[in-house]
Amino acid sequence: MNDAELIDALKRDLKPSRPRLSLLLVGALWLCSSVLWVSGVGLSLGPMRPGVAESLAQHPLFLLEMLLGAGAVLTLAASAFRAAVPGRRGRGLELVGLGLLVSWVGFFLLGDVVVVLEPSMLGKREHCELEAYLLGLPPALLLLVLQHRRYPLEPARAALLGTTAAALLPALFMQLGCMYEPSHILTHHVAPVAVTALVLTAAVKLWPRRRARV
Amino acid sequence: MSDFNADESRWSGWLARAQAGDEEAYGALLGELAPVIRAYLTRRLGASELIDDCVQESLIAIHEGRHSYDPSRPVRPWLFAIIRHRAIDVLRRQPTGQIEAEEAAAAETPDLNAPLDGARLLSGLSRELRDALVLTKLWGFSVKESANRLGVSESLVKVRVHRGLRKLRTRWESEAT
Repeated sequence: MNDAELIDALKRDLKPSRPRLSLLLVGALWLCSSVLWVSGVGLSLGPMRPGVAESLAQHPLFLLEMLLGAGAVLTLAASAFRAAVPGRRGRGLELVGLGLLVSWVGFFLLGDVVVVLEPSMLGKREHCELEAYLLGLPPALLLLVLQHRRYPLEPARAALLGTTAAALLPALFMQLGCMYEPSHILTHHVAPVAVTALVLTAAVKLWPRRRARV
Repeated sequence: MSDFNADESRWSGWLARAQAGDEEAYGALLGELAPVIRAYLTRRLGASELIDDCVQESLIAIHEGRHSYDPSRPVRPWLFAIIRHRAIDVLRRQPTGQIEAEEAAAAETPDLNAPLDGARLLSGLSRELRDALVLTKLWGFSVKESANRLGVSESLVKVRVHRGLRKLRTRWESEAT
């Protein structure tokens, strides 16, 4: 098939496409609905840790830790939506998001050296790990659907960014809603982020991509 | 108005009309883009039979992703991101070993030391990476044959091809379109 024949075939296959909302608006809607989902369902499953507001006000390192986590969610989610549209990918933003994520996890890895809050069992939720998986899954799946409706050139990379951002939301919620102890946080709140992101990214990578029939 | 700006606004307008289902505008866009893509790829990868595949694959990718273009934004970054990505994809998928070992031994092998005429991106790679990439992906030698010609192990050729493709993608993405 030469170029002219191909172009004719593509013309014949042309169908009007619906106008898309702006990326910023879609991203903002996703973030709002996901935060509402995680906090709403999370609170219906159990209360916040007693004294968490005082902890935020009186322990600057805890506030910093939460801000780093929230910053990681925002930048990774923004990168994920940008990666879904050709020519919009921003390496700088991805690196910032990765840096924030590593800094956030660093607080727990160095928990014995940098004491953010005195470790305690106060506020422990019985099934926090399961909650972390269940709360993170719908936002992650929604984000993958929204990405799929655009045209990610590197679907696996875009999925990894997006599912990490989505799975971080319940992990952040658990910082406020479950006991504070670095090793518990790593195994019960942070590990589900990695598992969710890797499993969903692998699924996206294996998912056959629809090709135009010409 | 410069050619650059004129192209930009014409392509953007055609693409927006194509999104609304205008076949005439779509045909005009693709018809104008085909030689532009061919010239763009030839400047960067050098003349090769692969360029035709890359052009057609790029046109198909533009067709698949046309809904993702936002008419309020410049069209070039969107367009050339698709073209770069699809060209690297074609190179990566290009099977090695199209030329049988005996045939290759008898064939006149182009001089690896000769400059790659016009292939700016490939010329920018280190000699090791470029030679592995050119032998396996552009000239169609098998990994074994390429390893013999380069005097290195087959696994090293595979590593160099992989690294070469990765560097090619990085360089290409960082270059202004």
